[in-house]
Amino acid sequence: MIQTDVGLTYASTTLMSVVDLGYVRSGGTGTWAIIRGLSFDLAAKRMFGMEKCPDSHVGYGEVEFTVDKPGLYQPRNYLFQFGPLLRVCDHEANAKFVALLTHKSVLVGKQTAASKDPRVRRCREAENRGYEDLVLYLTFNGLAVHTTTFGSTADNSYCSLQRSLANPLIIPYRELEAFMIPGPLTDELLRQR
Amino acid sequence: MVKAMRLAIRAAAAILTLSIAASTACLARADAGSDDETTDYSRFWSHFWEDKDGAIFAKYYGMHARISAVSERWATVAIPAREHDH
Repeated sequence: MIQTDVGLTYASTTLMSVVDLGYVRSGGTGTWAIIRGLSFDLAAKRMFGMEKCPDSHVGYGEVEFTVDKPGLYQPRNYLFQFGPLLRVCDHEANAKFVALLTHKSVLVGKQTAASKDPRVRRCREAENRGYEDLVLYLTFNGLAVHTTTFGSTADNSYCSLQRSLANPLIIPYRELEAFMIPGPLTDELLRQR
Repeated sequence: MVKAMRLAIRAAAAILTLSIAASTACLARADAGSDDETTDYSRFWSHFWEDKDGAIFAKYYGMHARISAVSERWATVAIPAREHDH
């Protein structure tokens, strides 16, 4: 395992987040990246990440195989709950969440237009970015939405294995209010700038 | 609350220790050549992983990850490229 990036991205008396990126050394051409975001609800002594919605038995990014029609299955599930903080549990909410990410991606593209960082240049293109298979973690500036799938395995290598201005997208907590679960932890994040 | 903080700090310390171990192991291996199997990495081991909290942490640490296909060749090209930029 080659670790390419690691960081403690948020820490308070109630919440903590870490990110850990790397890939498996294979000796061949293709291999696997492991993109991990992990958050801690310290009072509840609980770790959380992208989790299945309360009324669902299908996890984020998983498929539900049907019994009635063998071999057929439902589309992959991208509805999720992010621990005690965020809930995107219906298709309308998911469409709004993806629209917010798309908007932010375009904005970042414009803001980084002059960047000489090759990773930023290559990864900022909105059409190249997948909005599925996301990894979330907290930062003081907003929710980090780390994309794990880009246009090709080469782009995945360039864009997902280290943090840059292009990945993750940082969404200010205020812009996520519609998706946030009311409570003291959410209040703490909304007090961040 | 204090206990939760202590657990979190130990977890963070364990992650960072493991990270240093992994990075050092990779660097050492690159320096030493592919036939070096004798390096002792036990000094990086934390007792945290052996107790109950550590076992729970390891389980969730493994769960909360996404895996995607990458090109190893591009990965090795991409990462030094960023180091040169800073």
